[in-house]
Amino acid sequence: MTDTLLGLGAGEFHIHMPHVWFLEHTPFEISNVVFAEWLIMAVLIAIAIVVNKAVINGRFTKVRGTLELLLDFLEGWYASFIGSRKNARRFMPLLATLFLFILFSNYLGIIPTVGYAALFAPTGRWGTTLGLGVVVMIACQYVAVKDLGFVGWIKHLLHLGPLSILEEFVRPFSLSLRLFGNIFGEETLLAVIVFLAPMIAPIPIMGLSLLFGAIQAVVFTTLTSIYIGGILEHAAHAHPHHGHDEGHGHEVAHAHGH
Amino acid sequence: MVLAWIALAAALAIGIAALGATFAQGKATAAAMDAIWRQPEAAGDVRGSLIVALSLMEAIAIYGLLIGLLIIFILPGQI
Repeated sequence: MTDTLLGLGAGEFHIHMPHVWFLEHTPFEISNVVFAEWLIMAVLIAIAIVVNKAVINGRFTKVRGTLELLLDFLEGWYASFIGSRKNARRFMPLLATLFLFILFSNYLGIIPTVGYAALFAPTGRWGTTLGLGVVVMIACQYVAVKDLGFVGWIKHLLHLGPLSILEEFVRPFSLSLRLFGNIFGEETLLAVIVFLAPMIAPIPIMGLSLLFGAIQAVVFTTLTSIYIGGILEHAAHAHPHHGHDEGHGHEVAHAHGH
Repeated sequence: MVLAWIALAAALAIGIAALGATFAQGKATAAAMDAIWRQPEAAGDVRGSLIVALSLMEAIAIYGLLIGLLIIFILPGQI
């Protein structure tokens, strides 16, 4: 591996790879990617506990205000794709969790940590983003079964023949490859620029990657909300007059039968 | 010599993908600007769908980038 393409100049260029800390060569490797995921989860859970305490006590703290502003903006944004603000509120737990996790993990790669404990953006590995994409796919099927019923789900899966089944399987790949490609490409670009001109040149790229990290988080969750919105639209068309199973169907029937 | 061809292949992968994707993005952005200019009150809706459409087009360029990175980083180790 001495004659790699980027082995130019004096030093050898190294692509940014995660390093394994414990349990190497087992399926349960603890690398800095896994550590970064745990760190993000811990931070998100800590924020959730702090905000929850503030809400229960009725105090208006800065963290609570920031989070409420962000989540209100996101809810309005998703509402324009998912149909209504009520539906957006129904799926906010999924969408906002995905958004916060992706945002934090995109920004984690920008924090300059050097050495053995260096953090690695979890979304810079395909495994993480494919996991998120599969979660979105399963959530879509769950929503479809719940809102359309089993027969309606099969109909929804076959509304364009085999093409729509193929689409369901392509979705997690396109979602995950988009996110992974963006973050991995950014990190590689940063690595190349740091290799070529280590002093000032990376700073504008880091500023750009702050912007792109946020946009990618928005795009991932927006596409999720579009997928869910398509299912909800089918549900609204499928039984506008007779309530199918639970309260949701009766509610729709009542709204139409006024 | 093989390394030179690999470098050219990677450059073509990202180059052609970026060519197509940016052409499409330019057309979409021009149409969106036109729509906003004609109907400024619909700017919010247009912006939302523009961002989603742009991200879908950008995905194609990203696939080209991924292929290019794979060619550069994986292929020289294989031969």
